[in-house]
Amino acid sequence: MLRLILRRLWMAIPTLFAIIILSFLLMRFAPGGPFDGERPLSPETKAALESSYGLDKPIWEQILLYVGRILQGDFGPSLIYRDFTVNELIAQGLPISLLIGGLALLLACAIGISAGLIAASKAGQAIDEILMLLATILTALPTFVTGPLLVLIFAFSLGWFPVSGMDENISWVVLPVIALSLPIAGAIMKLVRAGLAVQLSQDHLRSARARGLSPVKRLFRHALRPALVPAASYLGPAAAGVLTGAVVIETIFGLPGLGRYFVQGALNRDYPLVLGVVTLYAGLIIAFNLLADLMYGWLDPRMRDS
Amino acid sequence: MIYSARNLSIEIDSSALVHDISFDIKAGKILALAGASGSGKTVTCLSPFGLHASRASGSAMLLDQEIIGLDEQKLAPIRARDVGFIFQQPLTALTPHMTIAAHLTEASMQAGIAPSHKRLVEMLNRVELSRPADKLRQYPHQLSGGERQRICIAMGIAHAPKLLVADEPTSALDAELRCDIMLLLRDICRAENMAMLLVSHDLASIESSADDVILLQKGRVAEASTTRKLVQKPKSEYAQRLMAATPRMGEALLPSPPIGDRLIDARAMHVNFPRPFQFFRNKSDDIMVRAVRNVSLTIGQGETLAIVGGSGSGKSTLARAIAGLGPLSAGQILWRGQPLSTKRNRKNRALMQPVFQDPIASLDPKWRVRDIILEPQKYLLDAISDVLSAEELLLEVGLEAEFADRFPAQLSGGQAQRVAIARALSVNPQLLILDEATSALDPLAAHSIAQTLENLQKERSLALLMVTHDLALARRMAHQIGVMKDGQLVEYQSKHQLFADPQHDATRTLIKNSH
Repeated sequence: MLRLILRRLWMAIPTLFAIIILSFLLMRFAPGGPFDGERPLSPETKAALESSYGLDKPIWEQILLYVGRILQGDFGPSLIYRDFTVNELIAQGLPISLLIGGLALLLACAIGISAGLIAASKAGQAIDEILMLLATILTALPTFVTGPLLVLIFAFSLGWFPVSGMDENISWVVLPVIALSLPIAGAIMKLVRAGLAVQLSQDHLRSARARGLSPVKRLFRHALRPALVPAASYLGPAAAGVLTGAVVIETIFGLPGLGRYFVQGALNRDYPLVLGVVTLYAGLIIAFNLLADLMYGWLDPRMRDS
Repeated sequence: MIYSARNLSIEIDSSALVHDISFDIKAGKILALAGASGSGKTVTCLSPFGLHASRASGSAMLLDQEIIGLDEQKLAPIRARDVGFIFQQPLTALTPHMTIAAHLTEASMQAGIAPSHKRLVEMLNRVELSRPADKLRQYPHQLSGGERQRICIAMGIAHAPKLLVADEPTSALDAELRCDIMLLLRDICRAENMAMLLVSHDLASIESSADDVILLQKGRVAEASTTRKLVQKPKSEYAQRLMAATPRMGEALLPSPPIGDRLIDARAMHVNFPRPFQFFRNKSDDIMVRAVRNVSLTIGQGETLAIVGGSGSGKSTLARAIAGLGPLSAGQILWRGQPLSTKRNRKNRALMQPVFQDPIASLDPKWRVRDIILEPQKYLLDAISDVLSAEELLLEVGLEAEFADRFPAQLSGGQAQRVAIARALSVNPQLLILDEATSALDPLAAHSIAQTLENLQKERSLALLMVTHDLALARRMAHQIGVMKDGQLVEYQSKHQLFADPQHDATRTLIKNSH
């Protein structure tokens, strides 16, 4: 177990490194720069700004300097939010994004697993068909449709939750979390339903039935755990989905999370900000994939030894 | 009387699978249901207990209670209390995420008692498992097939059932284990005074254990008698054919047809596979899995060489290396004195052709038989002399020419294997490499394929390299027999020599465990 963790962390280093270099180069090859605004600056001012941020140096030297700084935990200054470092901006936005993303993942698992269980145990019946249709709709609907729709119903019409922004009352998290979790819940629902369908036709379930075990015991004790393996392998992509989904959700609900900085940073060619957020996202996704691998071993001991 | 069936019939979607079977099993006795695949033996034993999608009618009395017509709610407690079940596949019958202790505890709870650790250890001792305390902590995948089947038996008898239903309990195991497991089941039955309903397609393996046997043919009773009578003096025509088709160690050794020029001369073959990459490796581990070690053999024109051994002994890997379908790490293979390159050219490919174990899986389901048979010709045409048509090839393997337009789904297992042989013959090979080519078939189909192969061998003076776990089959067909164990060819003899004076322990064990 510890071996697996160490090995994966060791392999994460070159992965992260490649992601940093690639996104660094991609950003630079994108046309425009941080100081090309609506009103063009005078060439002298621009050159002075660029040299003060080290942007006039050869690109390989910039990469070296940048990676060197990252190794010390410093993502550098933001080029657009002039008085802030990228570290400060991330420290502001990350807790909000983590709160919303984490809750959305939990909610998606809760909805997806329970609905998948119900559908699989009523396979072929109307409730199964309805739930699977619902799952398809949920995965197909983008958050920029469900978000405003939820606001329209639960904030404007019913007035249960705030329309946007954060306030003292924690109820502001409810709508963004729901909107973010729905497509992931739909996917998990389908994966759990399919995983259970495979498990329920396995020999070991026939053996359990031969021993006279009740359907509920068979489902929970013998079928559920191995059936969750496909859902666990979706955890990595789901985490990526939550992070990118957050970009849209934070804009819709006016929340000062990381997603907003990401979009703003990309549009304004704020190189250090974008790279900082990308590195963080990549790290989170790697961590979630590791978590998924650890879960495999728990869900199905056969995977521990292979 | 523990269990008795009267006029038991079973149907699925209103097509009848089993007609009017009657039998009785007393406490401490074993009744075997035998027959070819599709004869209805498994449904007969599972359907009355609600474990099969079919519908049973007639009467089945378990401890004087009628169980036909009961719904699942009434059947489940009966199964839990009075009946134990053992299935064919020990590899998949256990729940992968539950430890052995959890399995045994659950099985004991059927009788309503939570077992102590001491009791769990006793249960494993009862099925003759070593190191029971360690086994309790392990997961099913950490045990071998034989060990898992012992666990399944321990679970089947954990609640002291009156009736044990065993559906092909040994057919997924190695020959060596089959005997042991069968004897264990028999002893448990006698000792616990339990009745047992045993299903088997292999008459030879039940001979020493079952008291009575019912032989089924297409859902009808072909013969019912004591096992001894059926095996020694079969009365019905079907039983006689079946007994004749099953190769047995006791039958007379027939002289083999003559052998021509030497085709294959393989010297010091080694096949190594790299172990899966491990970041932190134990220094003691070998980097290589040595699947075949230093094997030399020869095959002559018209000769049959049988490679026998247990699963994992390296016999298939060896055959693949000779066929040029798998890796050869070291050593040399000469064909008529000329070295064969490891990467075969088209001419070399036409010299030898393989036939695999699962006939259905080795045919593309979307292709017609004609296209399947002629495919090798398309690629190897320049390498072959006589080009036969699909119809000619079908006739040669004992099928009618009309089969050319069929799809694999329209073939029985035996017919599909004939098609696979016709495909192999389409490029006029001089050597056929048969990897368990008859072991997925029922005895009658297997026997008739074996006869077809022998005829082909005579007509074409074809050489056969057959890989098999069945020593009796090798004894019937081969000139030479090679015994493999742990990647090594531990004995390599003419069959007369091998059976008259076996040299190696592995050979003696194989002979002892064959029927």
